[in-house]
Amino acid sequence: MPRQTLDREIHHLQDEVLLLGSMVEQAMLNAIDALKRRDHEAAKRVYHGDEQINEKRYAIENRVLILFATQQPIAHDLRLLAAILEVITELERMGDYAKGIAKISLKIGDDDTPIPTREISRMGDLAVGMLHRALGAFIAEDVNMAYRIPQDDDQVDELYNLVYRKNLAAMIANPDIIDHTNYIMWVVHNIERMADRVTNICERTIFIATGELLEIDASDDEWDDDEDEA
Amino acid sequence: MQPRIRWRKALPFLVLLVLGLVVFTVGGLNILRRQDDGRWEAHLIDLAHLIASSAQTEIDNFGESADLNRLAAHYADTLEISVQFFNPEGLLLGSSDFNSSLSPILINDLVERILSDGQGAWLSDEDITVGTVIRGADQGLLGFVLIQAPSVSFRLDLIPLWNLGAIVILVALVIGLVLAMVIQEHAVKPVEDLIIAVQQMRSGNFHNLAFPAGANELQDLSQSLKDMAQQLGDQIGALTTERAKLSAVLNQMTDGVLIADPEGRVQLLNPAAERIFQVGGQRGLQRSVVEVLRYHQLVDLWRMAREGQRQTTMLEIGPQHLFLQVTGMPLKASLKGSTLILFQDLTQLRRLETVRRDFISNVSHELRTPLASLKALAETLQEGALDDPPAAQRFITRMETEIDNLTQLVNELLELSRIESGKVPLSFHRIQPCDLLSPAFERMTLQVERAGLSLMMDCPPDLPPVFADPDRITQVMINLIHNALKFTPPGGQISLSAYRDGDYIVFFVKDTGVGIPKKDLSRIFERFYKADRARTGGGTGLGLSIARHMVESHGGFIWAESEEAQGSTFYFSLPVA
Repeated sequence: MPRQTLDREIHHLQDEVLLLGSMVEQAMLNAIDALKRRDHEAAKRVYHGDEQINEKRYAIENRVLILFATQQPIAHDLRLLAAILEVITELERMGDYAKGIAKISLKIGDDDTPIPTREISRMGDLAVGMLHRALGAFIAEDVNMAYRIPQDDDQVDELYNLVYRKNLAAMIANPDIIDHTNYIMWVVHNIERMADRVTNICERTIFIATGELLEIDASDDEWDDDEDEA
Repeated sequence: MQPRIRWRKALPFLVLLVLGLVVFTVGGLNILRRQDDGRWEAHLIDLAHLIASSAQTEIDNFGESADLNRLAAHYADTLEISVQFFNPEGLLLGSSDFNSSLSPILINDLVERILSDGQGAWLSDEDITVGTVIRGADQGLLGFVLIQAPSVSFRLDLIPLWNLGAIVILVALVIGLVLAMVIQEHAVKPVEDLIIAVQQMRSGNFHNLAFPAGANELQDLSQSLKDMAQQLGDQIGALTTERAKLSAVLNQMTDGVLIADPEGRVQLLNPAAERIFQVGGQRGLQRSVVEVLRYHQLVDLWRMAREGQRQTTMLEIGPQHLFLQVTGMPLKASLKGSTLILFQDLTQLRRLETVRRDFISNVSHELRTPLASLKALAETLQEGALDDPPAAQRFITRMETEIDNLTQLVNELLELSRIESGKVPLSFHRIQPCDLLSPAFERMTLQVERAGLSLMMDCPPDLPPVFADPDRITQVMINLIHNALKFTPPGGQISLSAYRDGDYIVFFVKDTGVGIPKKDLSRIFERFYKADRARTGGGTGLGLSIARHMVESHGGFIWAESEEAQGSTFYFSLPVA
C-alpha cells in the first residue's frame, strides 16, 4: 500500500474513534437520564447498547493490527496507531461504566427514595464534556488542550465528595436506605472513574505529538485503576 | 507598447526594400553597360575588319612599299581612334599615334587571341581595344590590326542613371516609412489596443475598456468582444451580488448549514453551525464530517443523505444537551453527490416548553391542595359534623380560609398574566422614595407585629424622587414584606430602607429569617418556585414573580442576597426621575 493509502486508513480510523467516543458519550448521558427519569426501557437500551460499543472497539482494533502487519508504520504513525489501541480500550471501559449505571438504575427500579439528580447530571455533563474535548484534542493533536482538560476533573471530584457526604448523612439518618444509597455511590463512582480515564486519553495525545509518555497529575486519584466494574 | 519597439517591426521590411532597390539599380545599370559595351565592341570589330580589308588592299597593291602609316593616320583622323598594323610576327608595320594603356602582357594575350580566333577585344575603364587579322586574297595571314578608342568618346554616361536610382530609393524609403506609419496606425495599433483590452478583461475589469474604433473586420471583432465584456461584467456583477446576498443569509441565519462532498469532506459550514459544533472559523472546512459533527447519530443521518435519503430527525446531543432538529438531504444538479445538512437549534424552544409544562403542573398542584381540603371539610360536615354546631363553625371558618387562599391564587395568577402580557396600565408620577415606603410600612405593621416580629423603616429624606406608579410599587413592597414575614421566626426583625446608587434608587427589605440556599437564589423569582416547600406553608409562589415583573416594567432590577440561617435581603432599583 502506498503512503496515501496509509494516510487514508489512519483518517478513517480517527473518524471511527470519534464515532466510538460519541457512542460512549451518548450511552453515559442516556444512562444518567434513564436513572433520573426512572425510565427502565431507556436503561435497558443502554445496557444492551454496550454490545455495539464493544463490537466497534474490536473492529477498530482489528484494523489497527492489520495496518501494523501490512504497513510497518514508523515514528508518528506508529505512535498514533498505538495510542488508538490504548484510547479505544479506555472508551470501551467508559462504555462499561455507562452500562453499570444502567444496571444500577434497573436495580433501583421504582424505589422512589430521592436521588441527588442535580449533582449526578452535573457530574455526567462534566465528564462527558471532558471526554468530548479530549477526543477532539486527540484527533487534532492539540497538546495545550490535552494539558488543560484534566483540570476539570477537580470539579467532578468535588461533586463526588459532595454526594458522598450527603449520602453518608442520609444513611446515618435513615439506615433503611443504605442499599439505595450504596447504589447511588456506585453511580457517582462510575462517573468519577470516567473522568479519570479521560486523563489517560489526554496523556496519549501528548504522547502522539511529542513522543513523551507522562503522567498528568490528576489531583485526586485515590482509587485503584481496575478495581471496579459495576 | 513602446513606439520604438513598434518601429522595429517595420524596420526589416524597410531595409529589405532599400536593399532590393539597390540591388535592382546596380544590377540593372551593370546589365545596361554591358549591353552597350557589347554593341560598341561589335561596332569596333566591324570597323577593324573594314580597316583590315583596306590594309589588305594596300598590301596587295603595293607589297613591301605599302604605306600603312598613312593608312593608319587616315583612319585615326577620320574616326578619332588609334590604329596599328602588325605583321604576323608582331612587328609594327604602321601606326597612328597609338597611346595604349594596355600593359605588354595584356597586349600579348590579346594578340594571341586575335591570331587564334581571327579577332579579339579588350575593355578597360579608359578605353577599348579591338583587333582582327589581315588576310590576303589567298587567305594567307598578312598581319593584324589593332584599333583603340577612348571610353569617354562612346561609353554610356551612367551618372544620371545612378542619381535617378538614388532618388528612387530615397522616395521608396520615404513612402515605405509613411506606409509603415499608416499601417501601424490602422492595422497594428487596433490589434494592440485589443490585446490590452483583453488583458484588462482577464484581470477582472469589464467596464470602460478602450476598444479600438474603426470600420473593418477588426471593428467587428472588437465590437463582439466589447459586448462579451459587457455581458460578462454584468453577469459577474450579478453573481457577486447574488453571492453576497447568499453569504449574508448564511452568515446571519440562526440555523446551522453544512455541505459535505461525496468523500465526506466538509465544504461549507456557516457560523451558526460552527457555534453549534464549536469549531472555530474555517477550522471545519475540508475536515471530515465525523470530525466536525462528532455525534454518531448525526453521522448516520449524513450517511443516509449520501445514499439519497432525505430525512429529518430531532435529537439531543452532548453534555450541553442541545436539542436539534436535523435535516439531511442529497444535493442534485451541479453539486451532485454532495449532501446538505440543516440544523435547527430548538434548545431554547424546548426549555420554554418545559417551563410551560411545569407551570401548568404547578398551577394544577396549587389548585388541587385547597380543593382537596375543601372537599374533605365538606364531606366531614355532611357526615354529621353539621349536628355539632361549634365544630361546624370551625370547619366553615377553615373552608373560608381555603377559599380565600384559592381566591388569592386565582387573583394573583390573573394579575401575573395581565402584567406579563403588558395589559396593566402604569400611571407614573414623580415621587419621593420615602412616600413609596411609608404606605407599605403602615399597611403591614399590624400584621407583622401580630406574627411576633418588628417592622422598622429608615428612609433618608434627601433622596431624589423617582418615576413610579406608587400603587404598584407599594404592592411590590408588600409582597416583599409578606415574603420576609413567612420566613422569619418570631422575635425577628424586618427593616425597610432605600439608598442611592448612581442613576438608581435601591430599595431593600431585610429580614433575620432562615435565609435562602445559594443554589436557589437565582430561581426564587420564577413562578411557583419555592426554595423549601416544607417550610413555606401558605403562599402561592407567585408574589416574587409578580414583584419582578412590576419592577422590570418600571425599568428597574430586582435581586436578593442571603446567608442561610442569617437572613435575606431583597433589593429592587428604580431609575431616578
